[in-house]
Amino acid sequence: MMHNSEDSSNRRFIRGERLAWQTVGEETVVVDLGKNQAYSLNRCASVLWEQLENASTADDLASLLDDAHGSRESVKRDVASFLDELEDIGLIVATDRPSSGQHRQPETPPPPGDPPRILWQEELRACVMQGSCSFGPGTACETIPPGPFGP
Amino acid sequence: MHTKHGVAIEVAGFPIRIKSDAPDFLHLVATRTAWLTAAEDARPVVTIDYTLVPGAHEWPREGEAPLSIERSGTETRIAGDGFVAVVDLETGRVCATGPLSLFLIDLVIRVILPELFDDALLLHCCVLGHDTGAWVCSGPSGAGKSTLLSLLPDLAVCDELAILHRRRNTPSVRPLWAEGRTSGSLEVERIFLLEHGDRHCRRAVGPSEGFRRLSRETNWPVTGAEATRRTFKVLSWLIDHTPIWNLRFTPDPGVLEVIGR
Repeated sequence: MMHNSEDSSNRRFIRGERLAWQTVGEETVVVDLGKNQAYSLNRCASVLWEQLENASTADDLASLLDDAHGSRESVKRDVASFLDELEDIGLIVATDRPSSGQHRQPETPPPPGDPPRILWQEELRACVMQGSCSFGPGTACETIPPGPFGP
Repeated sequence: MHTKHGVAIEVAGFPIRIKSDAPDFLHLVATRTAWLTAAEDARPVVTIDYTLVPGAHEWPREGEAPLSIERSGTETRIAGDGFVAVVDLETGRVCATGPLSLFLIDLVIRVILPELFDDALLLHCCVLGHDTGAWVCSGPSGAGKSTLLSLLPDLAVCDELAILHRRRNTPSVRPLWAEGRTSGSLEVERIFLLEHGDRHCRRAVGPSEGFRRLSRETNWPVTGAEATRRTFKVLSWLIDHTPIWNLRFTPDPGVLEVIGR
């Protein structure tokens, strides 16, 4: 779904449900537990992700990124575009809740010049067909005497 | 030895009972899983009822014999050409129909284990053991796991699937098909992501790349959000506590010097 970033900048968003996330190195890996999809957020996106615990507009979030990230308007555009992407893949949802005003400045500001973005995504699959049958010849049970019915 | 109650085996500490009306099938199970035999009175976490039908005996190869895994309500259905298994972990029952072969039992075990694990995950990898720990070597099919084991047979611990887990707050590994509840656990010293190359070389891999590549080789749960959440937590913890390297190597035993450096 395409969004108009100007519209998005006034909407409020909050994290979706059925998600899990962990800090992995300097990034945040978010897993959509319903779709078994993992997404990695860069440092700037990780800072914004923390704030999305509370209802937030693009304006709220852009205000956390200092001037080193660009002009206020360009930062706001980057943030709004990032929020659109998160909404499209279901990691955040629009909300009617009022903005809580509890946005905190990050302890470690993200590096300038790297707008918020998803670095990669992976489907988390049940890799059950890797290799061969564990009970067949040449595998873990090779030392077991074969039965009368073959492998 | 099988009885009228079926065959009792233990995999990764979980008692599993396999029942069937077909004596031929139960004999095959008892013979081929003898080293996994559990006490007859062990209370199974899962009971597999197997109905024998004539059919092919082949392990379904990826891309050749499509395997579907679908979830509906509390049930997960594993189906392919000539076989089907319906798993209900809430009741601990599996109804399976297939040929005189153990590949469907193997598939069912690979699907249910990630659901049962609390602090562990199942990784597609080979394991090399040494005096003080283990090197876990992972990568997609064709990346060199079997080649590496053939080069270093004295260190080979496991060739395909291993359980990575947190043991006394230390990353540990044991082969999936190990006997007993606790045997064979080794401390994980390093994880290598394998690639074939024209010379031996290794490079440190950052956590994000490590997570991404290992997630592809992790056997993720399919039946529920909570199991996925647990696996995610374990994988993140392992990555946070284990050095990860990319290892490019040629088929030459000298690779050991690079691995152990």
